[in-house]
Amino acid sequence: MNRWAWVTGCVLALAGCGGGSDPEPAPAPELGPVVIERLADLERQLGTPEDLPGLKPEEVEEVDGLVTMLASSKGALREVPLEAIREDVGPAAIGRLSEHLADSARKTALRLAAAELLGALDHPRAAEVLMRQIEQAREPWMRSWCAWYLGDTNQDQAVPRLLRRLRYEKDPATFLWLGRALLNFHNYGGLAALEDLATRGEDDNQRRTAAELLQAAAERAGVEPSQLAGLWASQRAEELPQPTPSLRLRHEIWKLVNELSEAHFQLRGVDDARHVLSNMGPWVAREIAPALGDTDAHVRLHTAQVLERMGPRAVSSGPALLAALADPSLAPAAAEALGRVGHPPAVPALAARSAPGQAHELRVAALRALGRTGLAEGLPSLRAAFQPDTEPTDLCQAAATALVLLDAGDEVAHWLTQQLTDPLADGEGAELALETWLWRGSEAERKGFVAALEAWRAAAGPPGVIPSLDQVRQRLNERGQLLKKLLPKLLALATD
Amino acid sequence: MRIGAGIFVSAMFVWLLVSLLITGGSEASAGPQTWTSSRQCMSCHEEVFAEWQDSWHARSWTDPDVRAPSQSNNFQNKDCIDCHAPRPVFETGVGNRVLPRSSRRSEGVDCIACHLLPNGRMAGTIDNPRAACKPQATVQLQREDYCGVCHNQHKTVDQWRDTAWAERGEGCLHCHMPFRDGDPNRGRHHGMPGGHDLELVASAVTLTAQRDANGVGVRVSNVAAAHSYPTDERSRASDLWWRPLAESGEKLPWRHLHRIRDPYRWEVDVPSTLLMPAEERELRIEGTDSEGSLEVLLVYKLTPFYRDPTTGEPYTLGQVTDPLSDSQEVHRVVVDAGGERK
Repeated sequence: MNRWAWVTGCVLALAGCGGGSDPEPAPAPELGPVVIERLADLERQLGTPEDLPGLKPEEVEEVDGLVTMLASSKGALREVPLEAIREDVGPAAIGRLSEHLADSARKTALRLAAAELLGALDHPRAAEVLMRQIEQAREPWMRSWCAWYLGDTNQDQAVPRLLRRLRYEKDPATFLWLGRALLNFHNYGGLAALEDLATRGEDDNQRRTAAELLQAAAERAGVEPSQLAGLWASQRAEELPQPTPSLRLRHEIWKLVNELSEAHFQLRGVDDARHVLSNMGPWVAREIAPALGDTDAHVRLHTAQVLERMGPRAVSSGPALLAALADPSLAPAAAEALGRVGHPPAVPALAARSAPGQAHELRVAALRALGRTGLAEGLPSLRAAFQPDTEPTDLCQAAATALVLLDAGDEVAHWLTQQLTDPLADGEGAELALETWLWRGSEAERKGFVAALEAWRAAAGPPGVIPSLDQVRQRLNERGQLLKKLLPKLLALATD
Repeated sequence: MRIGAGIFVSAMFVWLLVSLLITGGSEASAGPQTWTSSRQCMSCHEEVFAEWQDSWHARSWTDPDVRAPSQSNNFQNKDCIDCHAPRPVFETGVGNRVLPRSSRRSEGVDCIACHLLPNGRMAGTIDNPRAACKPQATVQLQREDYCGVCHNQHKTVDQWRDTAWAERGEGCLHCHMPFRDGDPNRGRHHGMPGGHDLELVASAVTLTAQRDANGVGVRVSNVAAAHSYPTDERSRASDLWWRPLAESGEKLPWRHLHRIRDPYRWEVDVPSTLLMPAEERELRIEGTDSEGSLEVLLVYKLTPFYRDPTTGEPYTLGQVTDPLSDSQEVHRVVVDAGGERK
């Protein structure tokens, strides 16, 4: 047989085996050791940490004397030990001050004076001592005061750990001073805690102090206090006063990105890193977006999750996320992130990923994302995907929920209602989508929706009571029956 | 003409060869091409599917305790998704942390999450490339590290490694995935009992109480769990309560004696009191009230906090008067005034 006949035959045969054209319009970005390189670069710039000089015996006495003096001084006299620690003793005092701070047998006033002196030194090692107390001290007052003094320094590398502490702190007064410290570093991740304290604080003093902190932050930003949280959560977050991150802070950020890697098995550290990074300002979205191209799949996926959780504040990462859609292992997470950050050019790309022929996981994520963009351009793709007779249920549910978010819930309300009572369906997911539909109708003052929402909510158990599985089934059933009765009227009113 | 025939014959031969290599034969191609739901497994694996559907793996997304505001808050806390709706374990690799998935989340920890291999086949105990799901014998399914991708987040597998069970080679499956009816030929039960199975929980610990000259010594022992009791950070707790038994028969309020629980990460004010494998712990009840008859109660909690059963408001331990309104009884012992245990 002719040799060329073989070759041609093979080519034709293999071409015939192909399933169609390449669905990816662009190649996946080239991957590299982004995190390792960034860390190495920052560590090179930071250099080796300096060794602190030791204290001579007489200097130990001097430091102890300054602590005692500050603890017993008032008014302008207090400036004397503060200036002396800065000008005369310097960072060499950190070790001794740290001993004062950690010694629970000492008088409270002396320990607090040591904390204040550490703050006055405004040194990375002193910040570390204060931070450790904020994280580990059993006494809430100690955590509070250390947060206060740390917040008056320029040691912005503490911000990630302050955010992490805020996540686990239980003492309301400490919330207050953690929030203040974060605001001083131009981080607004503590706004929710401060707003909560301003309205529901334990006493007048707490409420007033929280309100004053919010007022001061708002004045610096040139807005009303009530606008702060909205601005922070929006694409306009950069209109708030922005920090100039130090090398140390950038190093801390990349250490957190490294925490996301496959090498870290325990989710505890991963969860903390995701939480902290997603509560940082818009500059961090720009800083970490290159990690979407890291060789570690865990880093890539969790970075996309961080950007998703940052939401519109991470809008600058839109192009990088769009490129990440070409990475099959990252595409679903990138799609979900694009939905949250609200990058308008993403809609056609998401629509393409929601079409048959794409991986199921990606289609579901893309449909969910199309709803979250809030952009009506996604409607045709969602309608095309919502095919309960032929498409998998979870895909239809993602499309239906997205249609609700784009104010087209009338088209899917009947199907979602059926899901409430189908034992194999995602009843809880359908329930959340239907509640959103009723709520949006109620907000839009559509006829019948206010009463329907009230009846719907009446079928829920008391807030805070965790229902049993049977009670959940009963609730879903009750709500299903309720909507079956109400739907014809609600939908008829819509077409009147 | 001869060249054309050569091309045709070569093409047909290569097509046949490639088809066989890709599909493994025509019978295999009758199965689903993509796996989008564990419901696809139901028709062939009816018994296993029913067991799984009734398991807490299947409910990992719908479990009301997990969806509670204090826990995942309907998964608004997305950190929970990684293990409650994971991508296939074999995609990230045994021993590695799992990653969260976007699709079929309501199916929780499902057939696909545990069995789908990166090559599209299903990990199982036999090799059969001609069956619809092309099972591939995969011994890793039985390894502790396999369960550990999620459960060692709570160090459960690490706790097991230092026990006599590990020395004997009795791993997770021994208790949590036993053979159906004890018969290896019947395969393993996919109900996977754990903390929700009160009988299993009760078999793991013993509770005894004995009067002595100074009061009553209460002993709680982890006798049969090859990991700590309980073995979960934050979400699980077990409490010891006691109360004097009034001669009048009046039910006096319960008093908290001891809490067995791990603190949640940065809970600086909560000590870790997990009862480690084979550990016995003695607690003392002393004072005037301990002189008469009393009863001691060990309860198990799926969420750590006690709440008012009608309003859901959280109680401090000191406010709880009826622990069983928000927990399950594991063991109860009565000690009479003379010291005899009932």
